Amino acid sequence: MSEKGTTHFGYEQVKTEEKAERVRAVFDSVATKYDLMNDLMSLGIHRLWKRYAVELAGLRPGHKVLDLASGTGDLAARYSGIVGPDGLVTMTDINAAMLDQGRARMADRGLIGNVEYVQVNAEAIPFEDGTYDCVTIGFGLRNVTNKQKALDEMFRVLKPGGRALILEFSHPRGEPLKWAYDAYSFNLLPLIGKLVTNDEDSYRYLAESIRMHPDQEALRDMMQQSGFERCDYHNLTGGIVAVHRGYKL
Amino acid sequence: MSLSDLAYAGLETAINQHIASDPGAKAKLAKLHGKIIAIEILGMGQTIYLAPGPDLTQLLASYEGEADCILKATPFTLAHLRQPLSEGKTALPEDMQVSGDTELAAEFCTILRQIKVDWEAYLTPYTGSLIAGELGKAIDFAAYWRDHMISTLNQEVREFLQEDASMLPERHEIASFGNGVLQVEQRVEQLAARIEKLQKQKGSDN
Repeated sequence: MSEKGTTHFGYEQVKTEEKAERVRAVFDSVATKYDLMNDLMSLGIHRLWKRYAVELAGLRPGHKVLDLASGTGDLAARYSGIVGPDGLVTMTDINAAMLDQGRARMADRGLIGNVEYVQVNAEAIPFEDGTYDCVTIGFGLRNVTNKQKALDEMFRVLKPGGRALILEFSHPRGEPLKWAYDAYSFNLLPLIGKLVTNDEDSYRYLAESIRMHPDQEALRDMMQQSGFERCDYHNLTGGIVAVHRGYKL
Repeated sequence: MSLSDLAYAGLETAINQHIASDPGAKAKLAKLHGKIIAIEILGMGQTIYLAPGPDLTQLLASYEGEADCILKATPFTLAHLRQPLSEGKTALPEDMQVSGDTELAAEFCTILRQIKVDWEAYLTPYTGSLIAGELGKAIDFAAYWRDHMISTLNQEVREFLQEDASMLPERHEIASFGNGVLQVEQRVEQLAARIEKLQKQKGSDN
């Protein structure tokens, strides 16, 4: 948060209480074509990023996983496969439209029995302390108004020995990649958004929100501030995306 | 993230496409949900982990827990898992080493070897059920004929190379040679230890 009572929404300064509503509107607008847009925007590479994150989660059969900002459930579906019938995946999103899409998709894939669905704001997780073996948030933290509060909450609901995982767009390493990435995300990305979802603004917000998100080191410091230990991060595709990992010891 | 991650993703897709070609196999694998099967590929120093689930069988490059069963085999032996199960033969290939839950290992291999592509269901949307049925029968017959031919050819080539031309050793000869090498290896190690001990003794005497 920058000035008192205001925060950023992309490059725009808005009142703190307005951001959640503005983010909700963005995802309401893109929910139905979310998966298609992910594939188009990343040329399918988002699947590799997610696979990598799942392996870092270190899940085992019987584990309880909380997946924040699940969206259409790409990560949750993989978690559900690994934790097995004795485990539990709590799939959450602040946005009801996204959660509905996710629930329908999970059911279509036959993933029932070890998945529950809860509409959750990551800044106020409605679960008891020490409930989960693993808490993850994939491409969601940058949309949270108070990121530090969300990290505190993730730490609180983790069992001792549990780990948190944050998969998020980050800051590319190297000037040529930065230049190419900027050119792509401020010119091509809104154009794809306009053609596919008829919503240029939501994808302009996506590009801006990534630039306003803390870089790799800053996010690791924030995790440590929340109490996480042995924090590290893994840059993917030259730092366009990073997976941060921290433990509650 | 490296090229191997891309290879793992590709391999996972290929495995799942193969499984999806037989809806029965997919349902049987779904019953193994919650089990982790490790496959150690001998000669490559690589272990992959399979996590069967209701929608797909996930392939993991690493797994922090203990797998329910471990299958150790060469890529050649693993390729046998695509061959149909012969009557009276066990699902586990002869050269495969199994540890952990052997029942799970056998069940997993049986499911893989019983996969039968349902060509009729696959082709019906494109050709209609009548033509698809006939094409399905023709493909099944061609596959049976191909397997029979490969099996016969393998046997004949093996017999020629081993018995007639004496160019390749037989299985028992390889096993005997392997045992011999192992014995020599052990004796060399013993000799090396003995020499080391004598050298130390000589050093302390001086």
